[in-house]
Parts: sequence; C-alpha cells; structure tokens
Amino acid sequence: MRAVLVVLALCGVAHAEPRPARAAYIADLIEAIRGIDRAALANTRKYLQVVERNKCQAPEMTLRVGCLLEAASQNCKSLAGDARERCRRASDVIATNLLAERVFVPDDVRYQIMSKQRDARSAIARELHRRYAALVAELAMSEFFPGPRADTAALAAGIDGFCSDAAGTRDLSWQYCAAAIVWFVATDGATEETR
Amino acid sequence: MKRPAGQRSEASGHAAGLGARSVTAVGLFAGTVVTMWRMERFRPDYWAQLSPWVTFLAGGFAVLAGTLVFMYWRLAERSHSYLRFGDKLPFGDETSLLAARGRSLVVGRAPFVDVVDLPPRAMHALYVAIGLGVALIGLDNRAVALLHEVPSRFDPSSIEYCKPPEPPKREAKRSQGCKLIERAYKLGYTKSLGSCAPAEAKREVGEVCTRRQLDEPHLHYAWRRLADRVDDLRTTDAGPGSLDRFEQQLDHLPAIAEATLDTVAMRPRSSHHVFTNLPDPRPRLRDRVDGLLERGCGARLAHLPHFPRMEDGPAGPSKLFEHVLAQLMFNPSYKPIVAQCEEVVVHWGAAPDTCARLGDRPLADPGVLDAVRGVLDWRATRAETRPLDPARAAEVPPAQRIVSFQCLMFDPAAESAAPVERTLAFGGERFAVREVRMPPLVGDGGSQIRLYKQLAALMAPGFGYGRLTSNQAIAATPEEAALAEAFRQPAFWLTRLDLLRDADLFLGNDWLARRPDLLEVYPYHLHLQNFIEVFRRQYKQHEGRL
Repeated sequence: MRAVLVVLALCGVAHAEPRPARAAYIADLIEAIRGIDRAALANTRKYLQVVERNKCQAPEMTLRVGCLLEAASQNCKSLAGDARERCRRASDVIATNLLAERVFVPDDVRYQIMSKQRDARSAIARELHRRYAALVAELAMSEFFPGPRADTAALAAGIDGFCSDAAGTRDLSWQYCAAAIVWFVATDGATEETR
Repeated sequence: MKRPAGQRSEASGHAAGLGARSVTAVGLFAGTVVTMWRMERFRPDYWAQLSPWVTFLAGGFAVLAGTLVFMYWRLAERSHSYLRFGDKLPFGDETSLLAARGRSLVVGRAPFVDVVDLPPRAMHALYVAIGLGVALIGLDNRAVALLHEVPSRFDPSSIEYCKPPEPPKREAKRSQGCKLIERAYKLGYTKSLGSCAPAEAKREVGEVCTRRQLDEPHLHYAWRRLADRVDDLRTTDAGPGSLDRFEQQLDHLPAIAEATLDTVAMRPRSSHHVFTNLPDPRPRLRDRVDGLLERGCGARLAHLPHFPRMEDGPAGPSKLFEHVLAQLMFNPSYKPIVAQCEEVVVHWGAAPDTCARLGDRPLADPGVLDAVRGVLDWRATRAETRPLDPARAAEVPPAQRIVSFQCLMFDPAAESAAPVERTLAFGGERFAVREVRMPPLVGDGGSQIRLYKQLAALMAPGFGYGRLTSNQAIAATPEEAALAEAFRQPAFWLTRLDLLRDADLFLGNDWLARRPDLLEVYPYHLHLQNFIEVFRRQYKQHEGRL
C-alpha cells in the first residue's frame, strides 16, 4: 500500500507536495536495504560495481546513468513481487553511490591513496565510508535529526531536510547526500570488509 | 550612591550633581559592554570554545589594571567636578553642555553643590569589570597562543646561523693500480703518489653567507646588520637612490598621505551604481544602521543559498534582486573576486526613466556624486604617486572601468532585449549608462533565471552564455522531451536525478519550471557556479577596481 502511495506521489502528484513524497521514498529505500538478504545485497552491489567500471564507462554522465539504469533493471528483472521492488530500490541507492564516488573521493585524494596504498580499492572504499560517516555525523548534530529512537519515516524526513539544506548551500547534490546517508544508516555503518 | 555627611541637598536646599568620576566610570563600563556585544563576546558558543587560559589571563589583567587605575587615579576620593541637569547657576564655575526645553546639562565645579558619587567599592568593582571587558575584547584563543609562542621566538636557537664549512670530501674509491702505487710509496720505492694522490674535492663557490657566524658576538652581528641597511638605503638596484626618492616623495606628500588614508580606511575602490524601480527591501532605520556598520560582507555571503524561493510580500522581488546581485558580484565562493559589497550601490525606488535622465542631464544626486568623486579623486592620487615607485605601483585603470551606471527596470510591458547604451559626461570623462527592462519578478524559478541573465548582461557588456560555456554535455544531451519523460517513471528516482546535470536551467529546459519537485533537488551548484564564473571573467574584462 505504501509503495503504491509513493509511486503515485512521484508519478502524478509530485507538484503538490514534493517533500513528503521524497521522505516516503527515502523511508522505502531504507526499509528495502534493511529487508534485503545480505548476500543478495552484496551481489547486487558487486554486479553494479563491475558494470559501472567496465561496460558503463563513458565520458558523458548521461550515457553512464542510462547504462547503469539499464543494468540495474535487468539485474532485478528475474526476481518477483516484493523482492524485485526491494532489489530495484537497493540498486537505486547503490547506483547513485557509485556515481557519487568521484564527488566524495575527488581525483586528487584518489591519486594520493593510489600512490600510497597497495590495495587502493579497499583504501578508497574505507575513505568513502569515512566520508559517509562524517555526513551522518553532521546529520546527527543538525536540527533535522529526529533523535536516536525515531522511526524510519521521521528519520527519512530528517534526511530529506538535511540533504535539501546541504544541496542548497554546498556543492553536493541532493541525491548523493541522501543515497550516502541511506546506505550508511540502512547497513548500520558496516564497512565493506565486515559486510 | 554616597553623599558626604552634612551636605544633604534636601535639607540644605543646595543643588546636587553627579560626580564626574562616577559618570566616567559608568560611561566607560557601558562603552565596554556595548563593544563586547558588538564583537559577539556574549555568545554562548564563543564562551564554549574559549580556552581557560583566556579567562585566567583576562581575570588577572582586570584585577591588576582595575586596581592600579583605582589607586593611582585616586578614584576613592570624591569628584571635584559634577554633571547635573538644571539651569546654570548665576555664580560658580559652570558650563552648559546641552540645552533643551529650558533645561540644560551643566558641567562645573562649585563647593556648594552636592556631588553624588558611587561608593569606593562600587568604583573599584566597575574598573575591574572594565578591565575584564577590555581584556576579553583583546584576548582570544589566538592571542593566547601567540603569547605562548613568545619565549620560543626569542630563543637563541631560533636565530639562523651560517652553517660551518663542510670538510673537503676525499675520494673513497681507489683503483687497483693506485693501491699498488700506494704500497710502493709506503715501501719507499717512489717519492710521490702522482695521480693517485688523494685529491681534495672541488669546493663549490656558493653565495657568501650573511647570516650570523657561529662565533660572532651579538654586537658585531647587530652592527653588521645596521651597516647593511644603511648601504641598502644609499645604493639601490635601479633608478634613483633612496634619498632622491625620499625628496621626490616629499614633493608629493599630500597625495601620498591621501592615498595611504584611502587604503587604510578601506574606501571603495570603484563606484558602480545600479538603479531599479523595486522598493527598498530594508526601509527600517535599524536595518540601515546594521548595513552601515557591516564591514566586509564576504563571510556572510559565502553561505548564501543557491536558489532561494522568492519571499511573499512587496519586499520579495527586492530581496531576490539583492540575492542575485550578491551571488553575481560578491560571493567569495566563486572566483575570480571582482568587487566588494560597498563598491556596487543599488538605488532602490528609482524613477523608470532614471537612465534616460542620467544621459541628458548632469549628475545631481549628492550620494552618487560623492561616491563617484571619491573614487575618481583616489584614481587621480594614484596616478600622481605612481611615477614615484613605478616598479611596485599597479597600473591605474581608466575611469570608465571603475565608475559605471546601470538601470534594471521592471515593467509589465517589457520584452526581452539587449541593453540600451547611453553616455554620461562627468569630470571630463564619459561614462557608459546601460539600461535593461524586464517583466516583473514572480515566484517561479524561471523568473530568477531571467533575472540572473538580465543582470549579467547589464553588468558585463558582451556577456553570453551558451552550450559551449555550459557544464551541460554537448554531445550526448538528451532531448528536453525525453528528459522530461524520464522523470515520469518513479523507478530509480535517485539515479535518474543525475540526468539533471545535463539540464542547464540557464540554457532553457523550461519543462523544469513545471516540476517543482525536481527544482527542489536540482543541482544548482553545478550550473550556477559555472554561470557566475563565466560572468565574472567577462565582467573583469570591462570593469575593475583601483
């Protein structure tokens, strides 16, 4: 029922009140990642990572986004019912995080890591995790944080408010901010190694 | 309040006045409190980050300074002079300071006037409090850190000495043949080692070290530094000597003093005037005073929201205008920096034909006249003093680069058009007067975009923004209709939002204006930053600062 409401909100009545619709969508993303099987989540992430690094490499962002969208929908197509919907939502967060990697770990930091670390990929993942953690800490200290005992809907509304504020004043896109926080919160801040 | 015994004014009918010492103490205390408040010393977050050393030192300073002042100025004694309201006495040494409604504030000293003073303890406490305030104004964490570094600065180990000469390096490697010759030399079969003799490494002729020698006495080092300075003054690299230059500078002393004063006072380095028929967004006196007291608005403007909604009410369009102008011209987050806040003056509520009148008649507005004259005078001073030090003095820009006049008028009947140019003659120079008219601002995002474009075109002649200068991809940009269609599907909404980076609002994409849900999460920072930086590069080609 909730999913139907979100679809309706995003499809047709987005013009009326975008904020609640966005918060509901974020809440669904968190629930989807929490509800998905750990192994399936890891597989989806691995698959999208590989696709993004190989098949979807393109100088134009539009092409990369299109390619990732296609790969993610194909990956979830084989599933049925709720599992498919959860897969699509988790893929949405994973794909956005992959696109945001260059923003959170800019090229200069990436080169530094690559020149110092033997296992550069793990080091970049650790750095990314550190930056997500910093963003979540900022949210926790901000006025938008509903408190540690708040339910998912209230937390989602807080994430939307915080990311709207960050996107309005900083050089950070709303979706990058939201996806990073959603991923960190839904996976309980687990690093790639412990996941 | 303490009053000496036997001098009760009520009983005797004598006039009473407030002691000058008490009034001074209260005035100083009030001044200190106001200064502390202006410098935000009462903010809880300031106190939260303050090092305990600051409060300790401030407290120590306050007790010491307050007590010294109290003792040596003999503040425990009664004031000789007093201030009082009332009529000036026909006899006695009194001077009227202020007069209103038949009563005046009188300062004087007369033996038969009761002088009311604060008790000595209160005076002492007040001066300690003043000392504390002064210390808290002057001392902060940085000042304490600098004080902490002072001993290490005077530490002799921090003086740079000349390095001791390195001993000549001897060749370490010896060939097999040389070993045989050395053996023969030791056995006495040969008298010299010939080419196998250890050769001293060639000394590199470096620069003479002028720093302190390791064994050089302090006085000798100081004398040598002084002699070097005197030599520097006498002989310079190129151009006239220091004394000749000093003579030349004496001839232009008023101009130099004026230029220095202008620099120290941080006077505006250009005078650009924007006239608009929008009402003043801050008509209240308090807002104006705050605006006048604000020094440097960079820190405030660095955190402007990218794309705020236009406020409701009559001041909404004016505030939006102010915001767009601040983003284009002053926000220090974008580079290059082209102007300071006080250098671009917005004249609110201007008549719609202001620019036409500026072109026809001589400049008459005293506010504009003073600002323009001030900048042109500074330019003249700079032109006069520049030959004195041509190597270091910056080029003096033409008057047309530092003074300009623009009009942006909002007219329901206006249609999009290029700026109209006129000229204005003032002080023997001709200045451009540019005018643009646009429809009134409304609450949609498109209106703000149009304002950005019109203001940019008005301020920077020849400004253009197109696909080649946009961040939007040129090759693989989807059609607007296809892009709009992509956002009708709810799946993968976060990922799809990345497509908006190829939908630059400054290039059209009007379909976005009908999607407030997307406008709320639009990546303004990508396109806005690019637009502003393209504008500033163009602006810098035509306008400038002293």
